[in-house]
Amino acid sequence: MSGFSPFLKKEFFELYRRRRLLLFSILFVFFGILAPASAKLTPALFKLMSEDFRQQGITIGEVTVSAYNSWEQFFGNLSLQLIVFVVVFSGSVTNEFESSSIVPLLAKGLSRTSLILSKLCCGLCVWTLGYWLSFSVCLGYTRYYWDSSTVPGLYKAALLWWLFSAAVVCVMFLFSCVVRTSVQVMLCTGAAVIVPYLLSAVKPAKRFLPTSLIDAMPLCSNAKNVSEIAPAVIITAVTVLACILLCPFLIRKKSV
Amino acid sequence: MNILAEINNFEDLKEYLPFLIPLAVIQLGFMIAALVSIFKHHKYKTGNRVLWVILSLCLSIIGPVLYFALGKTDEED
Repeated sequence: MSGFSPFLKKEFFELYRRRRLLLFSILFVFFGILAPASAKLTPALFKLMSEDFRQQGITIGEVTVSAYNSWEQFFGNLSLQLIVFVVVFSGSVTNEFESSSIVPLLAKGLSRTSLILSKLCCGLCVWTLGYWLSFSVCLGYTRYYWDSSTVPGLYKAALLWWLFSAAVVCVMFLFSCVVRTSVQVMLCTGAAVIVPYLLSAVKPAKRFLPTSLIDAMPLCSNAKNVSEIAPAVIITAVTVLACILLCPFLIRKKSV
Repeated sequence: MNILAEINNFEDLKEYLPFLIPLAVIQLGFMIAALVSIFKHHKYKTGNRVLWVILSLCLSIIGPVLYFALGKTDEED
């Protein structure tokens, strides 16, 4: 696995130089603030619209929000953050092969295993740091405004959402080793999320599907226990490991 | 419905400032930076000037982020 460490450094330097790190940091902080902001503004917005509703015969009582609503917004917005991440990183491997910019490095002895593992490691690190940055910002604001007793299972819900997102990132890199363009990577990754999501409509299958990990609010309020979705947790963790192990094999067959 | 009158009735605008200020700064900052960059450049990695201006103006923070990630060339300004 020659060249892993230098190539990883090069990847991070490239992200820094192209200001992607700054871009993602600001984006994740923004979404971290947006969730408690939306929750805090909800009663004021309802008050603002109450006259319109009254004219239609709908009466709205006093709307109260809590930490629960803030986290509901946060977990709702996370899928958008993950989509932006996948869109930006989908070309990470395919663009190098399409433009043949990787050829000189491969000719100088960089192994394909190092190439894909350093790209995967870099992608996972950026996503993980961004995810927990966004979580920390949201946590700070939510604690400032509300009492956190309505979300006793917050940390386990956040951890399971992270596990799901890590699996999506790994699957994205797995497809990067197989298909040719970034658009194909995006479509395949999207399909890999949508198919289990649709299948989760079948109740007996739900506890086995990774998408049940993103149903965060029942976990937050302790209405659902982790043991109920234990098979899904194991399957998601196995998916992450399988992708990490399969990527080096698949990238060897990729033509430049 | 007078929105401004309703806003004046907000219990305490100060309560909203801790998140309103950073959100506004990030959103406006990103939009202005994206628009400046779009008009400085003539070539883009994907898309064209009209597309990126529309996306940056209409898609709140996502538009400028997509421009910097997918539209802006890597050349120095």
